[in-house]
Amino acid sequence: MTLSSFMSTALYTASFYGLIAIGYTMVFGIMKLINYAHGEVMTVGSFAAYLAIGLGPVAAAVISALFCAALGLFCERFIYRPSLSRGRDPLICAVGFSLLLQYGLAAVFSSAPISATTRYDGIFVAFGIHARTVTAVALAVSSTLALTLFLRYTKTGMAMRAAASDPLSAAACGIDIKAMRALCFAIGSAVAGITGAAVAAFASISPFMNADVGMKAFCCAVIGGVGSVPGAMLGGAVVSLCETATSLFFSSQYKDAVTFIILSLSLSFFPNGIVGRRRDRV
Amino acid sequence: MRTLCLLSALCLVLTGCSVRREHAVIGANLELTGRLCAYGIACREGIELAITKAQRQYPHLSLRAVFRDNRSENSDAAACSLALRDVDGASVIIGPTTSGGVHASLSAVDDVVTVTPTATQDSLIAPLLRRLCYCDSEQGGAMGRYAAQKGYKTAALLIDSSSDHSRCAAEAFEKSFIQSGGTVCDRLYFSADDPDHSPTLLRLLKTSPQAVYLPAYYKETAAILRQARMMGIKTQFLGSDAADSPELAALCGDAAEGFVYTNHLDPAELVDFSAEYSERFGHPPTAYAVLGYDAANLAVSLIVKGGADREGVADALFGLSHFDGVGGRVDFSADGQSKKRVTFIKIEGKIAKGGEAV
Repeated sequence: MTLSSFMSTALYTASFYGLIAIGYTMVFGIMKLINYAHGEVMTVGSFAAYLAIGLGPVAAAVISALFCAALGLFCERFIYRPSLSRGRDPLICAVGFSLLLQYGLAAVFSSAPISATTRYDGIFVAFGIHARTVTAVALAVSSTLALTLFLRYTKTGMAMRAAASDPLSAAACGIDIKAMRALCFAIGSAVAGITGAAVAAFASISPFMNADVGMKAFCCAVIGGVGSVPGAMLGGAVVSLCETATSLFFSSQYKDAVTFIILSLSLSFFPNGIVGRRRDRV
Repeated sequence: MRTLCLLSALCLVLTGCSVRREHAVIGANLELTGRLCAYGIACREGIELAITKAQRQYPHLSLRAVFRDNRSENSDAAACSLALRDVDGASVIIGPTTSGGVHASLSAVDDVVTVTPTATQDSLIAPLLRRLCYCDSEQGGAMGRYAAQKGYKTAALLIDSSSDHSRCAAEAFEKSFIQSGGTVCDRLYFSADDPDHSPTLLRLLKTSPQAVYLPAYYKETAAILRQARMMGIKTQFLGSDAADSPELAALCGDAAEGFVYTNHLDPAELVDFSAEYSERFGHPPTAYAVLGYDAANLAVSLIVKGGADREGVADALFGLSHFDGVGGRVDFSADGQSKKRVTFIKIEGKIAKGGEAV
């Protein structure tokens, strides 16, 4: 076994967890809400890409991102917003929406796994590193950079951070809090859509495939610092490295336990996450 | 004269009406949705074909198959068997196809004759249970001997930690492979819920075994074969009957090429049945379809012999020493175990091709 194989595996898993964690961190940062259905939005993205893969991988990813952004907007407008405005806990709505998406997909596509394509399976880029790893890392780096720059240097991004930090003051300054929340959902869901498309290109997909992944990705977001996009990626990297090393040197049976030990340690020593300095941060 | 004719016709009609057709319900508790639905759907098709043919063969019987979907969940399997017994009045229950499902079903209903087509776990023994397949220790042991015969000196075990089938078959493989002169160099575990198995597979690059025994369901088998190929692992993978599904090659493409697994029958021996089945359903049968067909035929033969009531069916079952089905002969021992030959299947050109039998 070479170091490149270890790094390839760890980088892929880190990027995968990180990309999903971005969606959690965006939504939690601004709305203080765990979007329990985020993993299922990614699954919808995989199925959208499955239907559009004939148009090519890039077109399929774009269609998947747009479709998931629209789904995120729908979810925010018709599920979470009414629930929050009535003072109810939206978490149970998120759980319900997640189940609705799972079983809706199962009703349309059946619950058996399907494969969009296997034509990219044999593509190795260099040094035994597969195209799957390169795609995942490229998506993770570009998403992190784009979102960080967007949030830090654009007017809309600053407005989103203001809405996350102090919604009342931000609203008094004329920032449309509802629009910021909707945008937050759309961006997080679009990233999930692109990730879903990447998964569909290299693995088989099924309606229930992300039922447990969301929990792991949320752990990554918490470890990195909820509300921080680079923190989500860093959390993904920490969890991935520890999981991969545990699988390699001990047994993969313990990798989930290791993740939750890291989460416990992180909450004990870094309650705001590795990069989290403030509670309200986007 | 006209009155006499009318009276005669009336008598004939009344006589005809008075011929009693015995009604019998054959219940099927199957994985029609959920992660293992390929097994249940194939099995249902086999049962439907068998019931249609049996209905023609035994016109005095009114056979009705009732299918209940256990969603590939063990808890639902128990509920389905209860419903088949108490709501549908099933004389015999066919299924589930998995060992966990049968365990759950038996924990809820153990007073109705149950025929499982493919549940292979060794510990599945009950007075009213019969299976039409070999058990895990047989298929794992046969694969261990096969691997040694093929010249592999080292092997790794890749076990689904959530599957009793996987653990049991792997243990049998290990025992027979070591007895045949091989060495098991590593024992890896994965979870069926893992979205990515590459961290587990990384160990194979470190230990470099000549063969990997992977007794897992087709979905996980496909995912692992595909990811192993992406990681550049070229080791020979060996599997169990749980890998048998036309979906396997569809899910992992060329990665399935050369994959060898144990199965209940050789597809080459089913030419006539395949033609009949393909004509009705538009695709060739899998082992699950064939054994579903055989299970339905066994259920019908028990009803014909013992009557539609459950006691009669149970009495007929106790007198049964073997069953000759399309999928081959199954011998039933006094303790309820089944013995059947193990066949090896190799995927070549995306098609499952039969090999030697043990």
